[in-house]
Amino acid sequence: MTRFCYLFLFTFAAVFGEVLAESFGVRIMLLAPVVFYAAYVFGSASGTAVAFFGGCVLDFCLGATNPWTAFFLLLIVAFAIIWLHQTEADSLSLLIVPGAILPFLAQFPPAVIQGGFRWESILDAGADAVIAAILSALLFPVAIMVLDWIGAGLSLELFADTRERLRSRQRRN
Amino acid sequence: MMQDDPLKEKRKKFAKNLHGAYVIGVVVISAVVVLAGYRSFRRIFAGFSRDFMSPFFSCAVKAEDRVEAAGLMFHSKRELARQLAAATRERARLATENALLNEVAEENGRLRALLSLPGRTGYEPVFAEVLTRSVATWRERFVINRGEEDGIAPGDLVVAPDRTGRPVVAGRIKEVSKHTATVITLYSDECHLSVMLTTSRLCGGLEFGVYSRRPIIQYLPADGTYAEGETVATSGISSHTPHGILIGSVVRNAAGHVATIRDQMFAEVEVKPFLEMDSVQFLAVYIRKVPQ
Repeated sequence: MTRFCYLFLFTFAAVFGEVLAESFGVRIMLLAPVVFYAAYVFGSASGTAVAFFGGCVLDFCLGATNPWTAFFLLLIVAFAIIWLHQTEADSLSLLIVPGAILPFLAQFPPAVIQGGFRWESILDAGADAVIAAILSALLFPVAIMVLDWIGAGLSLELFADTRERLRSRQRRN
Repeated sequence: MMQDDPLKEKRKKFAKNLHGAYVIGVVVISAVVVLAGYRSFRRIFAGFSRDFMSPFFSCAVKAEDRVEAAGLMFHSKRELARQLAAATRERARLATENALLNEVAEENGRLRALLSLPGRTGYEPVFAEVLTRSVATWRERFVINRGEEDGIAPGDLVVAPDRTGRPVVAGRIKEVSKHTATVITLYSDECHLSVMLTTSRLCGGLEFGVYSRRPIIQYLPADGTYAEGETVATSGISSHTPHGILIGSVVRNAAGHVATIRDQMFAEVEVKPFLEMDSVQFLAVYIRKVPQ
């Protein structure tokens, strides 16, 4: 129940913040890190639920006809699972890499589709994605630390322990 | 060594084929169900999510309005007094105009009753504010803070003040939920309007030109005379749109021509809307009034 409330509140806050920022003309990516965190720490089912419902609400609140963001956020779930199983290092600074990749998975493709595949929309979306990638690379480790800090206060599973939990599960099996 | 029974082999193969057919059948049925259900899911979930989130977005919009109102405190008293005097004059002018129009409407109603003609469809403006809009589709669509409960229906005309304060067409309503509605603007290829050139009184269909990146009036008579700068307004043919609301003016296309003849049957002209879509914040939706 605590996990559900935690995910619901953070998904709500991310969607609200992202829609509000878009309405002011600023494109920032808040839901994608939450999806990555949910999929990495709580598993693919939680990640998929956050991606699907959060993405749908985000797109529909912005007046989109089809929830393309929800579809592309599912790629982040897959990416989080791959990142968990394929990388060996536990360092927080390594999170710069997924931070830089997230905008190209979750922000660029839906922006191109919603922009109607025009050259100018592709260029705009590309430029936005590059800036978002730089910012996200810098802020993503901080966001994970904040989410972990709040999670620790609520005695939830943590990002920092996930790999260890996975190893012990693999040893048991 | 014992040979495999051919009947058993056949059964095995049949069972394998059956399993394959079963899997394909399940996939096909699931795909059909998903596709059929998607439309309903989209409508219901879009309405639910917008209605759920709209109070929170409204709070943000109200906070923005308050900050803007508080910003008036930075103006000098003289400036505020001048603005107040101008607003009072404008209000008086509009009140006089409104009284005159009410008189004309009453007279029109009486004459129609005398001639036993059906009552005229009226329109009523519902004032709204932009709630959310996406950066990717900034000029094409946005969500407003009024919906079904305010009487708004899909297809209703949306107007906003241009630089001079005249109400001009911004677009039309595409979808509605209880408390919100999605507006598609003149820059969206989903927006279609029946329009009229005000001088020549020729009618055509307005839609967004994907290649010219401007609204285009199509299906105009090929033998008509078209002039640059001619004003375009709504024709009022559709029951959702009042007659004579200004849209824009005719401009030359990239090739330098005012009109282009298509298939030797119809003419096309490009239109420059009066409204700067980037800065639209306050608008009105014309909803239909029950005939009197």
